[in-house]
Amino acid sequence: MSDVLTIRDLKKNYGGFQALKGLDLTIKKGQCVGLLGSNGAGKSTTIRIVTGQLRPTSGTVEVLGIDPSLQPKKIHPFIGYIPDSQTLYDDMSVFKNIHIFAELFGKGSEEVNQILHKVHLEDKRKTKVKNLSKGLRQRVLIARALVHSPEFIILDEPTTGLDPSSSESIYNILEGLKANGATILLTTHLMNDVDRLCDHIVFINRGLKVEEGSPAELKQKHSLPTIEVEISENGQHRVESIFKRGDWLSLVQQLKGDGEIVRIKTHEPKLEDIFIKLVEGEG
Amino acid sequence: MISPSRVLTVVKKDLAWASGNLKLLGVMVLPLFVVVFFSRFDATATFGFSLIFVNAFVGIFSTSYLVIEEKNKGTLLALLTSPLTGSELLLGKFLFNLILCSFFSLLVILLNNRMDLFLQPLALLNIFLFAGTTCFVGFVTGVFFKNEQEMSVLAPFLMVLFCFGDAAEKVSDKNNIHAFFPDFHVARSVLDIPMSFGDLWGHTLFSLCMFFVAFGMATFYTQFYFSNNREKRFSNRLVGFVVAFVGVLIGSGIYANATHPHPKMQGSLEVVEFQTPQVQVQYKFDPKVFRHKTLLESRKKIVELLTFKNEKNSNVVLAIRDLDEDENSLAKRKAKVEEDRSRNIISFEERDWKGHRFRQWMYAKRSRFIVLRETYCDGQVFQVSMDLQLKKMGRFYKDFKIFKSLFDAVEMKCL
Repeated sequence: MSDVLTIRDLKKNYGGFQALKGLDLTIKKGQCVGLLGSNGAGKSTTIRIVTGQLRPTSGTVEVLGIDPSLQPKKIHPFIGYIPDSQTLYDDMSVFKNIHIFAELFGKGSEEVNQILHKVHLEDKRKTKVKNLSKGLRQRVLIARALVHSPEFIILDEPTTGLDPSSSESIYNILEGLKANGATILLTTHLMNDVDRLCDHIVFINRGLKVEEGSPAELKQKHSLPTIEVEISENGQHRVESIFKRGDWLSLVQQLKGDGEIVRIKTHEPKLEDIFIKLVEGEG
Repeated sequence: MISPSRVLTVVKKDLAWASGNLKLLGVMVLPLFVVVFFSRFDATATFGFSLIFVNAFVGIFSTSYLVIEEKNKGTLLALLTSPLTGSELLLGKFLFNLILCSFFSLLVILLNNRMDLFLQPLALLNIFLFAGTTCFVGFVTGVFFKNEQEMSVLAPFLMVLFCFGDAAEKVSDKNNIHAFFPDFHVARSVLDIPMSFGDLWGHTLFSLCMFFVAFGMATFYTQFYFSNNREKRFSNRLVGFVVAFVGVLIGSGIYANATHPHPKMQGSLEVVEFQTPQVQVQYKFDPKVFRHKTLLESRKKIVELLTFKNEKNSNVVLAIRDLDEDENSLAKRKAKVEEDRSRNIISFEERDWKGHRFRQWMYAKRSRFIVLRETYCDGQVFQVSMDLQLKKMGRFYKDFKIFKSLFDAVEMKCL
């Protein structure tokens, strides 16, 4: 698989503040990578550099072999960027909003209709954006970013502030894109979404990469499943938690003592725990 | 390389956006009411002002508002992560607003019935260049300010910069505020059009200069602002264009003062005095009002006439008239004064001054102003009159103000 994005020792200073302190990242074709980090970790700066809006202080960035800081307009036809805010023309129809960008990318009405079909917005094509719900607006944003069939899709917190149903529809669209082999870079605070969609996760904190790997690898490395045992003894209930490792059954037997086991519940490790652990560990 | 199709997309987008956005539509349509109002009020007097007002208003407010709205909504970011370049955005917004300005200018011309302008390509070019200058300045304003609140602080000052010469004159009761501003202000090339087309070549040169300086400023500021390395790069060319813009403004002021010297700088108040056996007339020329070339010429005429009338031992008559007008026609006009003033009085005031009763009429008929002032000395009526025959209707309002201020300077007292 060829590399779509290569970042090497990326540094960015804003005056005296160092937003990125030497970030390394590689995204291969067809990969869906989640870029996770707390507020101020450097996610947005990274995205701004990758999309050519910002020039790095040092280090190299290549998107499909092109340096976005030197040739920003050359990479834009290959990138579909969905910003974290809903940057749409409220007083224009859904169709017009997408059509403007289609024209800028040298596409026409046919492509607009195709993408509207893909994001299930055909019936809203004449509706003004201001009359749409937040979830539908997000779909318009996605349609706008995808109208020119980009090779590399960058999503900045695409489901933040959406209700579960809207988030679900957005993730269905993204899963469809992934299934079709799209390369995706995603930033979000919602770990469940990353867990569901991404096959590679990069944690960054204070401008540095602190961990990376597939969701399963990270869970295995940083956290173990826990077992919650509810025991009844002399008419009293107590709950004990142990890690699910080694001979954990013997440990449960020891904990039980003379009592009875009422319930055993297994807790699978979550990315949130890893996120908190990594961020707090750094802190 | 600038792509015409992308520029056209920006124009179409702004058109679609503006037609659905009531706020934007308001900014663009507001001048329409002003144009209609002014044309109904006094078409000849306000034609030039209407032209500069609509162009300055649409050019500055509409262009900057379009950019600021894009910034606030974040659509500017979306546009710039597409193949659209900053220069194409500038050109698209410029063209859209220039079309608007042209539409409103055309409306002003039609409403004021000034089709003769279409026979003066240079005059039209001056309007176009003025509109273009305001659009570029509006774009820079829009890019420079973060939001509408910030923009609303500067934009009115820019409006004054583009319109002040005439506006200051109109708001001034004593007609002397404009004495503190340069005569050759930014809008002079358009303001002179309704009068006599002025010095069209000179105006065109000045307008071209302003247009290209504004164009350069907008281009380099756009490149600087939309660059991904703007925190490092210090644009010498941009600073150069800002300095050039200010330089042209100051230069035009210096030029104006050199060609039409400010009397204030030349010295003392001029007094023309003469007397008859019964009455003394003193004419004080306030330097502040002798700024305009026209006024200086008027003063010469008055001095000549005052000298001439001084030889007569009768009621004093001051008259500003065409010098080639013969005495017969003057006599005929005087005969009609009584009749005219009863029908066309603009103002009448009666007051006591140093124990003497004064009555003053001001009236106009077609292109003429006549002011009469009477006083009673020992039971005898003494009258001072001024009569102004206007050569061009377009100067009606301006000359009226000059004329009134000249007459206000006349003092009479009984001996």
